Amino acid sequence: MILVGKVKDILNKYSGNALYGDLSQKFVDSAESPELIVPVIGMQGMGKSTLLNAIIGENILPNEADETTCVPVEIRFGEETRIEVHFTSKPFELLNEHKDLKLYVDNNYNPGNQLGVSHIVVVKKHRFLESGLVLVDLPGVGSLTKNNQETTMRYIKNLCFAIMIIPTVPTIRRMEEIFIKSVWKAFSKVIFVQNIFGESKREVMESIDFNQKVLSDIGQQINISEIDPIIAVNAYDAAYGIIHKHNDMYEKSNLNGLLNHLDSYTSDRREILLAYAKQHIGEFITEIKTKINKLIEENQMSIDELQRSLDENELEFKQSTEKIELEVEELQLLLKKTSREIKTFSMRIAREQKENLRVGIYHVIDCGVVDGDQLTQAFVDIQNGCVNDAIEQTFDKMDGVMTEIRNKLEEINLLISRESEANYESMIFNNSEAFKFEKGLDIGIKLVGAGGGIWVGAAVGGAIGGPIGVAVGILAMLSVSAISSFLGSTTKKEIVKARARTTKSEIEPYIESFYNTIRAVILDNYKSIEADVTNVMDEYLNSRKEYINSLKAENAQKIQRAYNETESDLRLKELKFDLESLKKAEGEKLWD
Amino acid sequence: MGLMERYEIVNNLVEEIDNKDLKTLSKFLKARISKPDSYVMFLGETSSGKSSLINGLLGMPTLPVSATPTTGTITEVVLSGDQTSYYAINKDATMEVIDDNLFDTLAKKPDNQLERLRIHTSAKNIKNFRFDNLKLFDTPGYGSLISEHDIVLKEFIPNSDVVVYTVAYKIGIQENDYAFLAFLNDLIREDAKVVLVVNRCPQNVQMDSPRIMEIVGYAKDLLHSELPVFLVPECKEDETYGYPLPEAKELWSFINELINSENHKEILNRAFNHYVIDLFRACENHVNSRFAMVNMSNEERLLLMKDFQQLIDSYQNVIDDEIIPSFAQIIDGTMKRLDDARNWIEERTIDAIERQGTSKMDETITYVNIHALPFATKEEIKEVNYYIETEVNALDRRVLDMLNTAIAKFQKDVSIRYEHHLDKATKNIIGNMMENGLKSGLLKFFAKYGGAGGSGAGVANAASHYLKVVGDLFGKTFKRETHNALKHTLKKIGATSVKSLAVVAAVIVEVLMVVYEYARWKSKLKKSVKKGLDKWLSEIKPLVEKDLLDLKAVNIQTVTELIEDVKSKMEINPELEDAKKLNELFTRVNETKERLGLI
Repeated sequence: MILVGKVKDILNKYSGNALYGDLSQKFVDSAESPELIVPVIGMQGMGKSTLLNAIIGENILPNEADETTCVPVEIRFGEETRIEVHFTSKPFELLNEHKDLKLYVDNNYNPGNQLGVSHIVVVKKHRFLESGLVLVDLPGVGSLTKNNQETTMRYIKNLCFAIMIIPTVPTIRRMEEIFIKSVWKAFSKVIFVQNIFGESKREVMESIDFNQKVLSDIGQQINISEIDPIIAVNAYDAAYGIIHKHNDMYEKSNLNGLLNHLDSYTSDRREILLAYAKQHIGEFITEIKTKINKLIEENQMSIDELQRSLDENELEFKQSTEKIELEVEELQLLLKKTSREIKTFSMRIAREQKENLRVGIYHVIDCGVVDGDQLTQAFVDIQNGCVNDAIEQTFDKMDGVMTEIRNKLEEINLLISRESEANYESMIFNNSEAFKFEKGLDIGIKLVGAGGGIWVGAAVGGAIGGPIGVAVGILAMLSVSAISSFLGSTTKKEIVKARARTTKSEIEPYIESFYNTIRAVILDNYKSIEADVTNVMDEYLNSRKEYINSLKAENAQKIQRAYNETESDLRLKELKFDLESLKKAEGEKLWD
Repeated sequence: MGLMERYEIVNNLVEEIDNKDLKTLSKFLKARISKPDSYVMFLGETSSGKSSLINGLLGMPTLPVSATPTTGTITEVVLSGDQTSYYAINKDATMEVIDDNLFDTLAKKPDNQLERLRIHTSAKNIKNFRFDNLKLFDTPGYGSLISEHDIVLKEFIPNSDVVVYTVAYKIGIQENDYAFLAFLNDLIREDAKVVLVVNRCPQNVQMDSPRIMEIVGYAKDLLHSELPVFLVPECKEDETYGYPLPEAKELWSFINELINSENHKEILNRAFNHYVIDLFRACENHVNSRFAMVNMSNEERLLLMKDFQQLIDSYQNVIDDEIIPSFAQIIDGTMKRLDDARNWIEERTIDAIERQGTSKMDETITYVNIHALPFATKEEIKEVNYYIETEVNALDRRVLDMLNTAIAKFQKDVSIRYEHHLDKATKNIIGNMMENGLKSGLLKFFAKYGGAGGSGAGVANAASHYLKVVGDLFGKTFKRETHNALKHTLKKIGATSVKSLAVVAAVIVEVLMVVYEYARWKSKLKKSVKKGLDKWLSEIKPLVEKDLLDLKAVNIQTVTELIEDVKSKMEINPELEDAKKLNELFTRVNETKERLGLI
């Protein structure tokens, strides 16, 4: 479908760099082929790859790599089955044999993602993908490395919808709860799938009952009231059933239950997206109409009047900018204050856990465990316990910090939206800023227009958009990234190999390095979030300043042109014509 | 306005109201304010010399000591009055006066009825220090505290101002100290002070001796803080009495400074101020209820009684239909999870044994006992606790919903019924009647501790208790009560399960006693682990079940108190009321409120 007449050109003409015309066409395009990117997330060993293989009906993803998947794998619709390996810094390659996939996704073959794979796309002709569903196998949080963390986080950051796999027996455990909590906060919607491995009916029922309680507990803590019932699926049976054509087995696995559920989200997407496109294009048109009317008005003013009016607009925008600058300064103070707080906090937690680790391992040594292997094992065990405790404490702390910063961001957002209502230039500026950001979404990973989560979030829930939306989004990552770095940082060093007697002083450096790691993980996570939020705000303020400069130049030009009466008349004609064209398109139809 | 002055204002009101319960309450409060207690808790393994330290302070062997473990129960030493007298406080909250012979016997071998012993003795014999109204608690070792003296963990330690942890120099930090110190941080109040005493040091041992540094290092790491350390040297028997009476001057002067410090007084003062306000709220609630009842026609009162009865019925339903069946399910689920936990622990431990070479029998047995088993157990028990926590929280939410619905219905019924009849003030009073007044708050609190002539009602409780009273809505009260109980239960299950591991260890160590061929020790050890874990399971299951039943009782008790509260309001008899006097009282309540600055 294509936008009618000159709508696209006119919108582009009056919207400067924001290019509303192109953007509008993109809305329409993405509504035509709606895409729903759904990451599948699970902690280690929950059968994530099995579930994905069952969905695509072929053993493509290496099962044994469940715990070691190190790059995201996208599964999307296409006429022919193929596998594309995308790299961060070179064009993608096609894979001939799907068993070679593990050379790229498995950490054992591609340690620390040294091959620089950004993501893998598996194209498959499958009726459930036809509606635009794109499933993404994300690396397990436990196996995130510096190289893949960024890509993974980008998926999480930009999407709003996820499938999370939870266990049956044992039920959700403490550590999993924290993981679920942090991921859930980053998405607006999570479908929980409970993977069954052949437990008895009673076990499954009891387990679902308990897991559901855990989920509503978590939901309450993070203010999510609407929690879908858990969907139980036997992924292994489903995969086996579909591959070996045991229809009975497949039917019983309830994979269809999950797919139908997903389908209910994809089927009416076209309508939602078209309505969304219509609404947004409508808003663009209204804005541009206001702008043209304003220009017509200006065109009819005397030079003095025009000068005065332009000066007034400029001043208002300047004053407004100063006000926002003050608010942003306050935000920065808050970030600094929090930074000091986190510093103290990180030292406290690291010290406490160091003490726990030390006292734990000393105790073991004092009781006579001096063999290298056993001491190493004890050290690793105790260290894991300490890391878990640190995660729990950190999560709570970060949660509080996030709320405080978020509140401040919302204040700024309110100020900006009030400003947009009161001031013409501000409205023009803020609107284009908001869309500048949304266009930026498809950088990095292939998120075609309305396929991405924030779009839908905005369409359905009216979430905070624009630069503040980005800042809030960054903030939501605080706990997820903290936890993943924690889990990634657990050292599995051999303490002392096969030495008959290990003294406490020899262990001290390991304890000290544990202390430093814990402290750094907490601090670095906050620091990176702080830097990101600060950058977003700085960029916003810079854009405002640039806008002031361009406004000055533009205004000078307007005055210049006003002296030339012939041009002025021609221009008036053009403005009126454009205005009429927009009105006509609005009244009839926007696209064919 | 000073604390005593505020108290007197409220007490005047109490006198005017002339209600027996309120008067008792006021009397207790006065006693507390004029003689605030301080608590010093002595903890540490058996035979670490706690009783001797207290005897040293008193200057005579008041507490029995000997080479074998002597303290079998908790002994409370109260420094007040002029005379020395002995008491036995029983589990049913009765108190008997006993003589010193029976005291000695019971201290060594407590009978089933005994909860703790108490000595009142004069502080006058203590030179140099002002120890009036100081309470010292001598305790048995960790093991018996966990299993038999729950009250120490639940009430005494959380209320202590100072915890003196004693470790004998020669023995050092042992398994039990390790467990107890790690646990202690969760129990004490934030402003309480823990001090470490290394007892029976050889003469001339200094702080920088490796032994002392090792002990102190452990304690610091376990408690996550710097703590004052006192070295008490080994001391010869006193010539007069034939028992050691260590002076420990530095320790006592430290305690003296701490409890007589301004900060400490300030904390007490704040807590008591809350009590005074609580007492006033009790009066207000009492007068208001009577006032409302009198200002009603007979017909209206009958209808209100009906509403009251309905409310009681819905409370009862909460107990019968929700709390009781849910706990049955939770206990069942917990037992199943304990079975699973046992199997997991076994699997992990056996795995650890398998990984070792056959030449490492001794090392592996130690490793299993010291690390593999306790670590796996702690991890698994955390998960069992997580299960209990989730289930109980879900239950509490359901109960809360039910209670709130019942209250909302009551308030709605009342407001509709009396829309045209009563003035606004009376309507408000009736509407708010259900606010769980002090009947279940302060009064209960004192009745339980102060009322039984016992102790335990320290300042920490006062502070948290205050929160409870101002919260005062059913929901909040219910949640806080049950939540605290839940927290306590979880801690206790953690402690019980680890402590019970001793039975596994005992079985495993048996393997060490017999020399096996290289080929056989592994299978023998694995068998022992299985056997030991079976024993462990059969030991902790009934203990955990009992803890859960206690938790259930707290849940039921909290709702029952709501029922009692409503019943007490139903018992008000307007025929016995003097309307004029009641009006005066009503005015007096408001005057008092103003004078206290509560309006």
